[in-house]
Amino acid sequence: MNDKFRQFHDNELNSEELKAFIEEAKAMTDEELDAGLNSIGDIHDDTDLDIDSIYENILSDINSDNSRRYKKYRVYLGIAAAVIPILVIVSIYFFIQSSNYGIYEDIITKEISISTSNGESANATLPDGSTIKLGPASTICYKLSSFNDTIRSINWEGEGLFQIAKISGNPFIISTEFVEITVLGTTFNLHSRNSSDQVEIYLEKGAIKVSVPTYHKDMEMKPGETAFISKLNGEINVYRNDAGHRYSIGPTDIRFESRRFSDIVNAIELYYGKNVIAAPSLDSELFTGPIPTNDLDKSLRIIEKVFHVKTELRGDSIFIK
Amino acid sequence: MRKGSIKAFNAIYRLYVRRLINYLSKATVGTQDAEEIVQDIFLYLWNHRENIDPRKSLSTLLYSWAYKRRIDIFRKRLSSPIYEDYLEYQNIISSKDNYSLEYKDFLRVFNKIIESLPSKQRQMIVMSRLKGMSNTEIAIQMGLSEKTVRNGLSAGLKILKDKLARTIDWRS
Repeated sequence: MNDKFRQFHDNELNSEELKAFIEEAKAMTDEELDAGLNSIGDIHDDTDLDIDSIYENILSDINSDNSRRYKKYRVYLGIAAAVIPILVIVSIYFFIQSSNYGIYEDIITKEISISTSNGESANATLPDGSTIKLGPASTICYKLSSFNDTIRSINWEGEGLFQIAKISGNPFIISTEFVEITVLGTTFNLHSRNSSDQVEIYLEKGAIKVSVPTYHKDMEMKPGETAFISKLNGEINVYRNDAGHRYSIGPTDIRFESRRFSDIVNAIELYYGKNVIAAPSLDSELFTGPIPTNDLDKSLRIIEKVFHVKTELRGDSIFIK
Repeated sequence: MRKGSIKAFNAIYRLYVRRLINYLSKATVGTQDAEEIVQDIFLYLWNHRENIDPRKSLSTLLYSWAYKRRIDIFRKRLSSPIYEDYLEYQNIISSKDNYSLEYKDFLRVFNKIIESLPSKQRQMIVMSRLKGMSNTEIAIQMGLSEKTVRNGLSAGLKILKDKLARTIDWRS
């Protein structure tokens, strides 16, 4: 039975075992449950554990408790002190109401965001006339107030083809989780996903400056270059496309180099918006080559041939056996 | 620490935090719930520091609080509706197609579907289906009215069930 606790914890019980385990465990005493849980053994995966931030939460709870107590004694002083600011706030409020300033303030500071899910793409036109073609599972966020005479800035996650309007003396800044790109007017392809361990940028025309703040690195890119930036060590590799290298995400396909089966599955889910349900792991075999991003049948035929499997498309799911 | 030394409290925290999270996360899905319980435990420890009997072992005290919370959260998890959802789904699949879907894979499909929901609805579904929390508990934790939770949850669950059904219904 104790093995079953571990399997339950790791979600590894099949449907009959799961049903039986739940019934049996529900009938156990607290002591029996405790012994079963102890038998799971150590859970070593505490790499993501941020004990400092948990501690900060505890401290802030402690402080808010303390300040609540402290406030009790200061309540009368507080009431007296509150009267004056209220008068000031009321007058400012009437001033704002009469000038309608509040309404515009809301509009220009409101965050606008455009997102795509798996299997979707979209076109966005920004206030300065720049256009962005969003690939699957991508998001752009900006405020009208961040498009002004001195700067244009957006936040980005995912992959997209950017055509940035050239306005002299007004740089366009794209911030992602890991890199910051400064543009003066150009066309380029950016691929920066929070889930991926590298950022990929392909510059078609113009010039851009790429910064990696975490590693204090800056780099300028020339047209026809592709840069790969590792999030693990900040290393930047730049390739010239005419020297036999090319960007991995093209307009109609994605190229893999020695990638595992699960990476291919992720790409299929991303570009076609399907759920892939795959039988036993095929991760021991590596794949090098292109997979189309606009032809599901062809993609599945490639997977069948390379991994010697059968695929079946049923509704929103792809079964691989 | 009994005298209010935050330095001593910090030392105790660092000594026990990893062990307690490890102990608690044997009963939870992921470590987030375990982290929240640990926060409660240390806050309780601080607030009751003057009543702690210095002759008794601190470790026994911390673990006795954690023991109770761990059993509670595990029993709640055993009753969480996600397992019934899975068994029901698995029954439909096997009767239609004789295909056996592992719980892990079901969870993957489930997570993918809820990812596409608005964040409030997603939170509600996670609390209700995965953590087995009642509408009242969800309402308190999210600072919403029970009615809002009930409505949000029923709309979210409808989308979830429709999408699950569509994933099953290959022939449509």
